[in-house]
Amino acid sequence: MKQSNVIGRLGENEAAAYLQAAGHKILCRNYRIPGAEIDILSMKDHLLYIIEVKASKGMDGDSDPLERVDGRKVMRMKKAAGRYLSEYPALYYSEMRLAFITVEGVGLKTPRIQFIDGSD
Amino acid sequence: MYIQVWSASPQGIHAHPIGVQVSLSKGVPVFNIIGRPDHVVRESRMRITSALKSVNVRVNNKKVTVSLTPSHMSKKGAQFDLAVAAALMFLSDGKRSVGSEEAYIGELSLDGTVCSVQGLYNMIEGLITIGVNKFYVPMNQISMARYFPDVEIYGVGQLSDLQHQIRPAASLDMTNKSALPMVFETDYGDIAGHRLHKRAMMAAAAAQHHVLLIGPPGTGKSLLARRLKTILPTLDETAMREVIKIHGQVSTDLDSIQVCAPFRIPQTSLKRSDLTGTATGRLGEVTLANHGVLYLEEMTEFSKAVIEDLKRPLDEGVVMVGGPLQSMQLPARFTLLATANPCPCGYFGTDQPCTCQVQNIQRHQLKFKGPLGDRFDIKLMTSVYMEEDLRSLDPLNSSIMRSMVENAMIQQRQRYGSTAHKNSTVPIDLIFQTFESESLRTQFQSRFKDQGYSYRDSTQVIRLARTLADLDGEAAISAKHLSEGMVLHGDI
Repeated sequence: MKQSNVIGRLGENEAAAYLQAAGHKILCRNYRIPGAEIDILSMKDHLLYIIEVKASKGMDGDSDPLERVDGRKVMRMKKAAGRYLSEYPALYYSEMRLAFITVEGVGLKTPRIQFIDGSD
Repeated sequence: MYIQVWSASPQGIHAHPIGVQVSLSKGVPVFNIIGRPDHVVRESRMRITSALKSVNVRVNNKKVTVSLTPSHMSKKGAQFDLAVAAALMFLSDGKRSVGSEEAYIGELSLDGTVCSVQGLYNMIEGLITIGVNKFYVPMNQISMARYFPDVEIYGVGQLSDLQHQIRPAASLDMTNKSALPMVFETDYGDIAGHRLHKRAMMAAAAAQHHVLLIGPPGTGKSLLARRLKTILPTLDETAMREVIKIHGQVSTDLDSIQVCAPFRIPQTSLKRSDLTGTATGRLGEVTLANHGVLYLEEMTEFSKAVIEDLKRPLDEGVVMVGGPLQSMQLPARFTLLATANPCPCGYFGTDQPCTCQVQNIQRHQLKFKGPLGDRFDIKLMTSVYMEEDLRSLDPLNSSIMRSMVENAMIQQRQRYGSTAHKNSTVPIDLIFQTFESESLRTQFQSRFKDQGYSYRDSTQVIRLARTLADLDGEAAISAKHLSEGMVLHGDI
């Protein structure tokens, strides 16, 4: 596994732990369709969260993980979310939110985790 | 959170005010620019996010929406960078409030330096009409402030300058640049003899008479033509503002314009769209030569369509570009200066044998003889005979000729009351009034008839005579000037 993949994988683990601690129920991880992927799908308070995790090794603030998010990524997330909902009709009418989790300092004792809710 | 500041987008030789609305909110972190941006505007998000780092503003985790209004118009250029970045700065730190009468114009580099933009004059002018009175412009274009004494103009060198209070540029003196000395590498003093041709050049410089020089190779056509630049009068304020508006669209350095009128030398491969300009806002050579000279070197080498397209600008002083749906009228009042060989080999009508076929000569001469050739006030042959000693410098040099031209300009301004009119454009009645006597007029009318002059030929000669009298500093047109006018007008 490449180092960047390792960081991403570790970051996703950190994010999942963070979500569970925050009361989320993890529905699925790494849901893939051709050309798109959702890192984490979770439920909380009858809201379906489509979550993209962005992780970085350093904490110096010079490399903001969110800089790697752009409109195309958001489009891909929406596409994958649509497919997921069609697979699970029970969820079809639940309210859906895009969200981002940044994990800075992956592998450190206390990484900095930020939850960005895309609802507003 | 939402904020609106002003900026502008160029359109022809004008600029439309554009409202830059910026909203910064929580949400999916994307940076969207809407309102028909072109690719340069769309790229600005990269420049802006990078430049904002220099002032410790981060918008990566926020949802940024930039709306350029009115949204139906397409926007182009990098000048919106400063407006968007400034709005995002104010939204992030919230320290300063932004008035609705503030405009920001400037391109950002990645480190936050504000770079100069094209068409700044037009943008400030366009924004003043809608009541904007505070302008933040690139520091290296602050000299533009001298043209707008009634508004506050601030120079911004770095994006971080906006975090402090900056003081407006003191309105600079309008005249300080035009007093610069003119330095040219060439001079009419280099050309011995050719008194008649030099006189023609002075007439062209003083009153925008169009000149055609025809002659065999090596007889000084180009030498004479290229030196016209050295005797062009300085532009008055109205003309200079118009020239700045036009040339500001294609260049950011305008200091040279304040010294000298434009002198355009297009390549012979010139395309029609490059001559007239296009409706998308690209300016053509006729517009760039406005208030100056358009010099067609080897006129016969230009394509026939290009030559034909010159007619309307020559007659009306404007050029229409675009089709029926979107058309634009651009100013195009210039002095046309052209040189040509009499035939493809160049020696037709001289002592040396001409090797061209008759059809080729006819086809060649069609370019300068037809309807366009008719529009030249001055048509002169250059001769192979050397009139003077090669080594001697001619006493009639550029500075003397220039002062004669300036005097002629003063006389025209006094007579017509404004600089807008020259001898070549005023109503012909005003020139008839300055004839020495009524008998002179009738006398020359019959001479024109004998020469077979058309109405256009006669008025061209009369206008030319007026300019020649102005060059001599004489108030009335005498027989001498009319005769000289007929010689310069030629019979090519």
